[in-house]
Amino acid sequence: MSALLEVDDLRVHFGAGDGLVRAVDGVSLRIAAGETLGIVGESGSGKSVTALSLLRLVPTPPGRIAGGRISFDGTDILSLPIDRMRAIRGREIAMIFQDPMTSLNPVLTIGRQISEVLELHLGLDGAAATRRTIELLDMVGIPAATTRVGDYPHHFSGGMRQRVMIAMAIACRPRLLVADEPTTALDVTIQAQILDLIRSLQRELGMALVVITHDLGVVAGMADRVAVMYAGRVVEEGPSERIFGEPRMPYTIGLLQSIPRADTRGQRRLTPIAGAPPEPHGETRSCRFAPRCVHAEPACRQSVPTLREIAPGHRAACLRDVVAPWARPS
Amino acid sequence: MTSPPVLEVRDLRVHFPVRRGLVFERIAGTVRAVDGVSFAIGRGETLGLVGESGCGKTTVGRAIAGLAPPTSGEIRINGWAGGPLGRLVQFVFQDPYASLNPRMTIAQTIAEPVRLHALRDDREAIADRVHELIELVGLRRAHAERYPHELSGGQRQRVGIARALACEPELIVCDEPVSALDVSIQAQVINLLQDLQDRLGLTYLFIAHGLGVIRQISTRVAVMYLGRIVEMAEKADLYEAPRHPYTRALLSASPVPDPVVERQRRRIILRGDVPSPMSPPPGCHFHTRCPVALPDCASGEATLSPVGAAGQVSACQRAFELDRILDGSTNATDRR
Repeated sequence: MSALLEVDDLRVHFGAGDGLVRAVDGVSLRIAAGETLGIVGESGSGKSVTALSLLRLVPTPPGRIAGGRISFDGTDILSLPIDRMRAIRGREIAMIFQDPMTSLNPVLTIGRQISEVLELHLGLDGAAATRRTIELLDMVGIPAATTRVGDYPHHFSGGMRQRVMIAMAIACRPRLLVADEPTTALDVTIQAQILDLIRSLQRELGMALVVITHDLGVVAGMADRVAVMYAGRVVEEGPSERIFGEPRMPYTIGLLQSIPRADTRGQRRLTPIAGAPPEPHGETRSCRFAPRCVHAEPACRQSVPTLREIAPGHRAACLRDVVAPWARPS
Repeated sequence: MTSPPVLEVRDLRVHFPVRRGLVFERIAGTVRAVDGVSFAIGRGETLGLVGESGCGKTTVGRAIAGLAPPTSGEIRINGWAGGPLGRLVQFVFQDPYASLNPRMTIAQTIAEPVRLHALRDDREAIADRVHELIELVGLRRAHAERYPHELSGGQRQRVGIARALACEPELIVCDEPVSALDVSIQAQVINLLQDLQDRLGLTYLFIAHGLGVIRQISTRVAVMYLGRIVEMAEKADLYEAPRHPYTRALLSASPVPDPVVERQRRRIILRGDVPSPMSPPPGCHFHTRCPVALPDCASGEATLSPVGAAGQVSACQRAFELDRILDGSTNATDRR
């Protein structure tokens, strides 16, 4: 399958000189049409900056895309003039953010904000745009859509605001939806509603989906493939079943052993990862995880391990052959 | 007779007036944040208090720690209910950064309660105690002279725990103590809390919204919805045989880090949002979102009654039918 989106050796830096932060430090990803890729990582792993880069939304300055290629459907979007990029944003690639309150305009009705997208990208006129807006609100499960188009963001609950954001994002039937922590601010029963909605819209519209989250449970329920990020790099990548069932990167294994699960008779003690993630300063010359890794050996500190193929489609950036204690023998 | 429980809460209510108007301020309504909650915690036990935002779980914790005045009801520590509980109940906050004084070193932060409550006599004894506490929570002596901003989130939470321990409390209320931390750090703090409990026989009220964390740390669990406890049981009973539809919905909605499990599970997707605690629905507060509500759930009081296992209580009149009806429920949607 050819890729809809291809990211090749992406580098995003913030600041300069001694304070240079390599937030994204050589990330490569592929997403096929209609596929769901989950990007997981802890704070500072570079997952959100990677997501923003896909729409060229990294705030510049202080940030800048320092290298790499992003190609969307064969077009190199990093070299596009800004007006061509604007035409892709929202129309071909749409994004939803963690906090819908800060991403909606508080002084415009939600109807106005959605119609604007339709007028701008699809050239609909006022009446048609309003009709379509009501259809979209209906589609994302906002009750009494006809009357609610005139409401302002603060009239809605957190979950309903996220539905409004989703309506806006799918207004032009984008081919790729990037969801950055879409449910992190929501309660668990509302989260279930929103994830359900995103899944069914994705099926209906045939969109590809990138879900960025720190919650491995959310990824397990959504993603076909998973990329695990640590300190600006993808350290493991593969089909969901393999990443959760037979992870081969000690960081992934450590994360999974750190999570208290609600579904298992959890008398097992958690096995935390020692220490804390590194500050992303300085050039990477070794495995960034080595200082916290119980399997590290001298070789891990001498070079940067590259992603190597473990099984078809499953790659891990680890020199050692570490197997998770729960892995099914293959 | 056995000794009284460390904590006993009887019919606790905490109501907040909602004021409107700038010049002619008037009381426009009342938020019934906590509306008749009773429970007890025995020595060495951890009661997990779980629920979604606005359910009142944090207010329960704050009332017990003396940080929110109860409207009515009784809070007893070791059977004693008179006056401020002071150092006997300590609070560990969600955001350790906001709860530490940025101008005090770690040693000063931990020494202050020891000094204030006169728990050690002289400066030397206080300094020894501070070092003991610093090591107890897994920090190094070198951290003593640092300031909060020089520590990571996980280390700051360790300081928050050390400060609580410094008071030699009977009960520690932990309010979402790991929610602001990354997964790998969360596990370190959870293990620390468990180790401290084993070593020192601590008693915890552990408040969280995550069912995984609650399962990991609790002995017993209480589920709150709109100011009330809707179900309470020993941990194993609550997770394996929940007897309230809200507990079931919460469990089925909690993501599990296993794609095989996720693909096979049946989810109960609740309709709508949690109603406002200013005007909770009559009868059972949950009936407006309940997948199995009957007409008479909208009237009368939903009170906790014993169900199934010893000590398990549920406020659902259909507690015993849930296995049958929720399995075939139209609200239970299959994934894919």
